[in-house]
Formats: sequence, C-alpha cells, structure tokens
Amino acid sequence: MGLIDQNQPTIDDYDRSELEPEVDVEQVVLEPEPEPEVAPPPRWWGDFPLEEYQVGRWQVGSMTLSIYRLPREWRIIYSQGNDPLDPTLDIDVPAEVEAIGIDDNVRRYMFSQTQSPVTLTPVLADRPLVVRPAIPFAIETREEITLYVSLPMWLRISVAGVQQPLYEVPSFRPSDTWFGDSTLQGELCYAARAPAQLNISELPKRPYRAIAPILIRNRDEGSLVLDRIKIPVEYLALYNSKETNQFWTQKIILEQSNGRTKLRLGWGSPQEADKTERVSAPRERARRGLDIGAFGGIFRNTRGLD
Amino acid sequence: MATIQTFLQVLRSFVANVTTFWEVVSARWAQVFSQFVDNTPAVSAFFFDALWRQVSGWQLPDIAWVLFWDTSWQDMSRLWRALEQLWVALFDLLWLSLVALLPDTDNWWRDFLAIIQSEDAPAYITVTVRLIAVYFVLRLIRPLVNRLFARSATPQQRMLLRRGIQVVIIFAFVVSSLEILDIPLEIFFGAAGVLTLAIGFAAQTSVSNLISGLFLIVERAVELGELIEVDGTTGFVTSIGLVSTRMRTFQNLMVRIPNETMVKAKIINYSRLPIRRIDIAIGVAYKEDIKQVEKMLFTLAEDNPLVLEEPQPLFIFKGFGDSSLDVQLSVWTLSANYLSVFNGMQIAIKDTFDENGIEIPFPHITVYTGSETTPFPVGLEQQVLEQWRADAPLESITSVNQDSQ
Repeated sequence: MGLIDQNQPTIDDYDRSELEPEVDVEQVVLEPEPEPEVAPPPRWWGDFPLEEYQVGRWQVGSMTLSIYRLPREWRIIYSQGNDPLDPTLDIDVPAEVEAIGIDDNVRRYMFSQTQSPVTLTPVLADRPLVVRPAIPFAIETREEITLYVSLPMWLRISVAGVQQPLYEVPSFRPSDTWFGDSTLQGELCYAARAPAQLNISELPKRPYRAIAPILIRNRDEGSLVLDRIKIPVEYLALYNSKETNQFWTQKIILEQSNGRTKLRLGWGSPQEADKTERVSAPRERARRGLDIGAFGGIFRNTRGLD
Repeated sequence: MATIQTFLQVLRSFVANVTTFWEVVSARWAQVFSQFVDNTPAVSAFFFDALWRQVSGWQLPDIAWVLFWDTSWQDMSRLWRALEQLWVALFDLLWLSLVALLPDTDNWWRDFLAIIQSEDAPAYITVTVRLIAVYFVLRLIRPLVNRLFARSATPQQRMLLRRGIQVVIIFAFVVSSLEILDIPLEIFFGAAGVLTLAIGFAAQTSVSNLISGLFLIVERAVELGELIEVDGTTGFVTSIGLVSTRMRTFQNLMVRIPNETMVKAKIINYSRLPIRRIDIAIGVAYKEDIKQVEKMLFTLAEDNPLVLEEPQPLFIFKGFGDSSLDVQLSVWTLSANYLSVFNGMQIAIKDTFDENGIEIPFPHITVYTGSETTPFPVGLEQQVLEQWRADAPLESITSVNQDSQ
C-alpha cells in the first residue's frame, strides 16, 4: 500500500489547487462567460413523472430526446448530432409539444394503460470500445501506468409497469470499428474519438460521459506498445459522484503476461471519484481473470493498393 | 453373381437384425404401456388424445420431402396437405374399425397391442401400425433436432442431421416391412440388375450432381442463408440438396443450380467474412485541389458511423483521366451494412462537393445535325446573343458564310 502511494499519484496530487485553473481554462474555451463557482450540471437521469398528453424533452449533448405519454401509448422521438463533446444539457419536463422534425426517429409502444413515471438510466455501450492514446507509446517490462478514458453513455428508457426497458438511445453514436488480428477474424467495436489521457484533467468533462481509469501492467518480457486498447465496457458498472454529477466506472486492470491480457475490475468506484452511488449494473458479469486480448490489432497487410 | 449373393446375405442379416431390434423395442414398449394402461385407462386415453392433438398440430417435414430428396418441402406442401388429410381420415377409419372389432373390455388397449405383437397378427396390420409409428417419429425429428442442437449446430448441420436420421429410419422401415410382408428383396435386386445398365446411362447427370452435392456439403463452400453469386446470379441460399442448390434472388425469384455447376463454377460468397470494403470511384475536375478533396472524403468517412474506423479508409489517386482526375475512396464496413454505406457515402460525397463548389465533370454531347445545316449556337445566353447580334449585323455573318463557301 505504502509503495503504491509513493509511486502512484493519488486524488490529493490532482486535487483542487492544481485542477481548478485548468478547469477554468477549459471553460473559457467552451463558454464566453465563465463562472468561478460552477454549480454541478442538472441531473438529466432518474424518474420523471409525466401526465397523459404531456411530453418530456431532454437535450443531452448533441442528442435530442422527446418522450410523449398518451393514454395508451409511449412515443419516443430522438435525433442525433455529430459533435461528441457538445456541452448542451437541457431538461424540459413537461415541455411544449412540438412537430416531429425530418431527421427524427420515432418509436411507438402500445399499452392498455400507460403509467407514470418514465425512467432514464445511464448505461454504457453495448459493444466494447476501442480507444487510442493521442500518440502511441510503449510500456517497458514490469512497468505499469494509469490511463483515463472518457466513455460515451447510452440512455436506457423504461416506464412504470413494464419490466423490460423500452429502448436505448446513445447520447452520441460512436463510429464502428474492427478489432482483431485480420479482416477475417475479429470483433465489431465502437471507436472512441477522444484519446486516452495520462492526466485526468486533460479529459473532457461532460455530464453524459463517464470516466474510466485503466491500469495497465506489463508482465511480459519486452515492451508493450500501446496503439489501440479495447475496453470491455459491457463488464463495467456506472457510478455517479453526488457532488459533481460526474460518472465513473470501476477501475479496469489489464495485465499483460505471456502474450495474454487478463482483465480484473476494481471494487466499487475508483479512488479518484468523490462520494458516489451506483446507478447501473454491468451488462454482463465478468469471469475472474478473463482473457480479453485488449491490445494491438493493427492491420498491417490490408493497407496495400488493391 | 457371387458378389450379389454375398451382398444379399449381408442385407438379409442386416434386415434380420433390424427386425429383431424392432421387435425387442416394441415388445418392451408394449409391456411398459400395458402396465400403464392397466392402472389408469382414463389417463392413458387422455394422454393419447393429447399426443395426437399435439402431433397433428405440428408443421411438418414430411415423408414425401425425405423421399423426394431434392424437393424442398414448400414445393411439396400442396401434395402434402392433400396427403395429410387423407392420412387423418385413414387413421380415424382404422382406429374406429379396430375399436369396433376389439372385445368389449376395460383393457382393450392391451388386447390390441397383444394382437399386434402376436405371431398370427395379419402382416398388413403390423405394417400399418409401424407406419403410423414411423410417421410420428419422423414428425418428431425436426422439432427434436432443432431444439437439441439449437445453439451447437448451424442450420446447415441441423438439416444434414435431420435428413440423415430420416433416411435411416425410412430405410429400416421399408426393409423390415418388406420382410414382414414376405416380399423377397431379391425381386428388387434382380430387377435392378437388369435395369442397372439403362439406369446407369440415364442417371449419369443425376449421379454426377449427387457426387458434386456430397463434395459441396463436405467442403462447406456455401451454407444455408448465405448470400452468394454463382454464374452471375446473386441470391440467398435456401436449400442445399444432394442434386441441386436453391437460392432466392433479390428479385424474389427461386433459382435452382445443379450441384455439378456449383462445383465447377466460381462462387463468390458475400456473407462468409464479417466485414468488406466498398470502393467508390470519383472524378473531379482538373482545376480542383486534390489534397482538399482527399481531406473532404476522409471527413465524410469519419462522420458516417457505419464506416469502420479501422481498417482505415483508403484514398487512391488513380490517374489523369480524359475529362477528370480519377480518385478512389475505399471504406470498410460490416457486410450487413453494405448497401446503406454504399448509398450514404455517394450521396454525401455529391452533397459535399456541391456545397464546396467542387466540380464533378462528365463528358458533354453536342448534337451536330449534318453538313447541310449550320451548327447549333451552343452556350450563349439570350442576353449575350443579343449583344453579339447588335455588335455584328446579320449581313456580316451571312457574308462570312458566303465567303467560306
């Protein structure tokens, strides 16, 4: 414990004094008039009571979501934007009824009688996410580092009286990507546009994105080149820090030894987070020491001219 | 002749074995069943009724389908529906007459079974009862195989397994029935001997297809449900028979391809690999900045969530064409998303080029109506034309024309 404390930066190292100015700089870029005392962003998730013929509207990042409640129908209307880091967060429940736009996706669900409230639960992506460091680097043998990654979240919509969730909408739809040794074999993943960072303060902080700390240990002989990392988000739970409304996942520990990558997950929210509550369970339960082959996967032989 | 006789001997011993096996099983079954019936006649009646309802409700692969190897069961369904109704009627008639004939006791089930099992039971009754049993067993195979191997086997493997089991059962039934009915198998083989030559010539194609079919199944070049292209025809594989393979085209046409052709022809399988590359050929005008075009195309690929980030999109400057700079954008996508990416990317490229004023040139056609008439005045707007007319009076034009003549 003592050893780790000396080598590893703890929450105190990053704490207020160092962090605050950087946050201000970031806000200057984002907003023309920065406020020194930033109130935590409003809570966009949870239970929202809706009367019949009422509509709730959420603008989370570049995604717009409207949920209508009719006596016998729930109607979900959403549209997606292109900006993964759009700072907009606007909750309007109940809102004025608006006409359906051209780009809107409409889904209707019929019931004999609809019941309030509607619940929005933040969840992580349904496929693994592939992330790159800003510049590829190597980890020497018997070394370990911690990277921070910002993950996009999905909104799970469920209503009272129905066990199964109605639908899931991504706050931002990441691009597809292929992770595997070749074009013959591999796995379909999402590509994270935001690069993995060594310093947590360099991550964009958004109320609809979660931060995942990844500890990577190299137990192999020889260095481990980090070009692409597959993050198995389906095994991760989500935690929300009460004060800042920031989402976190457990700490992910990827240990490379004998050419295999073992996955272990931290217990509860990571130490970087303040007081948190757990908001959603992982989609799948991870087996102990799962081999997930999280590194590499660069296509060297498919780049040629035909 | 000697070989035929040896073969017959082997066959006879096989038949004897099958028959003994059958007898042992059915005797055991009768024993268990009669005990059951003894104790609870009402329950057993209910049980049988339920069983029959269940069985008659199944949608069925059919004996006919199995017998006509190459005919998928949709084709046979009309014939089969007729047969099935006939079958139900026959079954009812048989059942009623049997019940009417049986002595009036509580345990008529047992008596009935006893009659069937006894030595002096008429052969045709035994065969009929077995036929009914075989019919039920055959009906059971499809749901049974589908359920047992729902996860562990592909639809293709399930189909093969099902057909294998069905053929074995039918073969065993036919051979044992012939034995019971005292029809000597030699008749068939004798006839076969005479007909072999004729059949051999006539069935050349069929046999070739049959062997090709076996190769096709073993090689697993195509599987049920895959999208393939053979001899210029593209479609989804709906069945792989021993003689031919069937596919459904995009136009919803059923295409039958003989297996011989399948083995000889080049097959393109669009479904086998999970991802594929889409090549989009684009021509831009010579005046355009090719670097800017490249950047624009990459941005478009990045913005489309269905385009894979890795393997990365590829930009190729193909050369200096007749009327345009020819470039190619290659993007990767999931095979299933092919069409939406193919359309989406090209539409997006056209839109973006229009927005940014990048010209996509194309060859123009000027109509020349023959040497006797003057050429069309091409490319002059009304205003310019009038200006031109004002500047150069008509006489001068005609005089020029006259001069040239």
